[in-house]
Amino acid sequence: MNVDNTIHFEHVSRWYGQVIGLNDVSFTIPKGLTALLGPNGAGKSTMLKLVTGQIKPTTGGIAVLGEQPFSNPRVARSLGYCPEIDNFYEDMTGRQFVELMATLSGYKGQDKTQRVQNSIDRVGMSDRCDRKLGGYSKGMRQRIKVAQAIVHDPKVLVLDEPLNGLDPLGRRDMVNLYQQFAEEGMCVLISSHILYEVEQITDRILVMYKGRLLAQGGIRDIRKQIDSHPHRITLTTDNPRKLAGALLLDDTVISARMPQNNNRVVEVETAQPEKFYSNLADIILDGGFEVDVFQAPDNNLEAVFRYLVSA
Amino acid sequence: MSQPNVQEPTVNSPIADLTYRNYDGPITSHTFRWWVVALSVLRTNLKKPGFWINGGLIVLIFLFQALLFFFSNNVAARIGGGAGGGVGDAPQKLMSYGTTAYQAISATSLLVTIAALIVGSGSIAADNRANALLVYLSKPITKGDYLLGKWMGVFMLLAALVVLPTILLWVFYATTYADEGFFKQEPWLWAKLLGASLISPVLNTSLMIGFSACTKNARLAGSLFAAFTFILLTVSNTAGFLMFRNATLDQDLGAGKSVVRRAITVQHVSVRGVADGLSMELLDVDPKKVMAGGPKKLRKRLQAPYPLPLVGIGLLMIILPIGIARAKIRAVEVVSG
Amino acid sequence: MTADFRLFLNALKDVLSSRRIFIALFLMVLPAIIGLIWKSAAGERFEALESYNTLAAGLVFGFILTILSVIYGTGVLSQELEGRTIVYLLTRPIPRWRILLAKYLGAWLAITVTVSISEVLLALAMFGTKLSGVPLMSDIKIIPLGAAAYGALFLLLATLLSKPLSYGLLFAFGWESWVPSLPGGFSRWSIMAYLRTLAPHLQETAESTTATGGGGGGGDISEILMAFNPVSIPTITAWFAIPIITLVCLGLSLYFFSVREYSPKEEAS
Repeated sequence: MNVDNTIHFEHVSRWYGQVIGLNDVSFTIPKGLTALLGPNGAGKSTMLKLVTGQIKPTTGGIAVLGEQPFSNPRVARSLGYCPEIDNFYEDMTGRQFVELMATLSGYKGQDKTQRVQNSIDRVGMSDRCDRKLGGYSKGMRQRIKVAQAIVHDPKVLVLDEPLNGLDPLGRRDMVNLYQQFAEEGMCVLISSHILYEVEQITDRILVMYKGRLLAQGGIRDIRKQIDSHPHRITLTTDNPRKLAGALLLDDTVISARMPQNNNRVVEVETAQPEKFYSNLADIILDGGFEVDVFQAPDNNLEAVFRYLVSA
Repeated sequence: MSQPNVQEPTVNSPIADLTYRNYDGPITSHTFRWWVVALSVLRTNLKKPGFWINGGLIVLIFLFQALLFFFSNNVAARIGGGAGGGVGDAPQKLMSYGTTAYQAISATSLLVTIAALIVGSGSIAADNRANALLVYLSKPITKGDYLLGKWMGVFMLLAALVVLPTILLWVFYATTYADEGFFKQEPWLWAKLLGASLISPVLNTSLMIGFSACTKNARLAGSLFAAFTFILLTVSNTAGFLMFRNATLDQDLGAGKSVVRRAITVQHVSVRGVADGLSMELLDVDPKKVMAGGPKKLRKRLQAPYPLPLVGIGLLMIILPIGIARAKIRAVEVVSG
Repeated sequence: MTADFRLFLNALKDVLSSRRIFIALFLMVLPAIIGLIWKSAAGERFEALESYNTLAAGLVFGFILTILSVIYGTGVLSQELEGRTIVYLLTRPIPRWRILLAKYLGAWLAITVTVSISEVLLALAMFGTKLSGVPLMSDIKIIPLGAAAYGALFLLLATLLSKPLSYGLLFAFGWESWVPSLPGGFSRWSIMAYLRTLAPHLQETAESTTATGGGGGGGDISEILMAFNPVSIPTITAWFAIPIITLVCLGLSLYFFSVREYSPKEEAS
């Protein structure tokens, strides 16, 4: 196990009374940006609480930067956490709150002031940080949460639903920021249930469902592994029947169908997508077909997630 | 379905069409919409162990008083002699039915206050915090339904804690002393006990609901309620004690009984005091037998407090917090600053 | 500024927040106001020392010290849990026990200062500036002890229970009132009994203020019980018992806070 900048779970389970929150989960998260995906109740928050040392596993072992994180100041020194909860010390200003967190992280004097300013600048709150937290919008609160999580330059950054409440521009800015952190060498773990957003942030995912880890790795790698679900490809053409006939002659094609609601579309299923793509060009050219639109609706995170969950 | 009252839109109103406001839908009778709110209060709080612990302690206190009554009257009967050995044969009862019940109800008043804190502190405060009032008040229920539902939910829980053991006490009396003329001596005791046992829950519920409506933090609501209750109790006890001492000295110099009675009334100006004072009146309790401690010379002068001022104060403790709660309940949170 | 000192200051700031400061100020002046009312009502019959002892025993120690200890002592942890801000503290590089200790010390200081000022104002109201012969200093010496012991006990309740305020009030106004009446050595289970041992003038007066106790179950019974309960606690025992209670409760609180999980619950539906 590489202990630098990693989070490591080894057969971790967590029970809440009779309810299992996490069920025999094992994985390693290296440096870079990793997304933790799952619907509500999948166990994402449980996992993040375990990583940040708020709770202990019932069975199994956890190592963050080589040490168990529960009640461990050494881990906390290198770990930044942006929780999902929207609660603060409402009487403080944003700056005061980040300053408090910097003080609790052990910084003093000019160093502390500089760090606070840097983190506030990075999250784009320089012009609004001296207002009371009680009057902040959801997006502003989210940014201050991120600011307090990065004020002590952590090696591991854990963000629970960090894009909640942000407008599209704000999301773009924050996504860029998280990607920057990853490029700077941080291990960044983001939890989300908004699939299309995660797809834009990173390729590396952990998929959770009902307390179990369904898959981990790159989106496309995972997709390739799902043999039971052939890839679907749709082609929009002027002669769908003839194209369907030509495609069916190819070994890689399992089925072809023409949906009733659209007489220009052919939907093809294949278990060998790469071979199919390389054959497709020849089939189209040989048949002289005009293909207006080519789509692979399966080759995205939503499809991956749906297949994993339904399995 | 009744036709809704149609209001003509006015130029100045921010929402032109106000016809929806009087919609009085067909689903359930308006009379019982508060019950839905009350039911949610009951469901939430019946799961709390603190509520049941309080209940258990209250039952123990009643049990203790019942046993004390039984054994002390047995002793009195034996001292009085006679083959029957029952209460009716005894020349003198150590304790009356009403006095025992009063002592039980009075001894449990702190537990009722704690129970009010447990079940009532978050009743409206939690809804304020979670913005649930937006949801509640967007349904066809009125503020009054919501407030009544919350009040009734908390009241029913507190009343159950006191009324049920009181009923059991009455059943104990009825079954044990029926042959000894219990029903003839105290035909209306059941009604008096019911009344006496409901006073404390009514007062505590109203106050707790009032404090809960004023804040978004259940803990703060509970702290304010506790501070108010105990500060008032301490101040009234202290002030009453001081006045009582002065009054007894004045009495020695020829002043009438009313000076002492006034002092004792001041001492009962608190939640517990109002409940105790009115219960004393309802149950016809001799204050010399129930007010604790002190030299015999002073105890001889003890009297029951004046009931009317206590009724007035009690009504104030009920109406004022409910009025404040009604004013504070809003669907929309107004953020200032 | 170190992290611990910052936490300590934060705890003080919580206590001095705009809403709570009014309660604290009110409690500071309450005994003095009642004392002044007593003074003017009693006229020539007024005895300053007796009044001071009565109000110190009943109001300052019997009420203000206990209720502030309940509210601030339980609030050290409960406020962070209910406000769901504990997450920020637990994910900082400070040992958990230091977080709790710093906040406890802040609460202790707030209780001590409030109750001490209350006591001083009471003495000034009763005696004016002629304070010689007044047991003020002996009372002020035991206030920090009482604040420490009660604060530690209620802090322990807060680390173990989810609704410590209710149980704290039950202890402060139920147990501490009833236990001295029980036979045998039960009074040794009451912190107030030890405090009163250290200030004997408060003990005599505490008993006399129950002369007319507004209701309260069993006048004859409590007399009988008290007659069988002539327990007096030696002063040296009290001097040892209070620090031991403080250290044990505080130690257990710090231990439990270090090993148990304190994760804010999801928002109530």
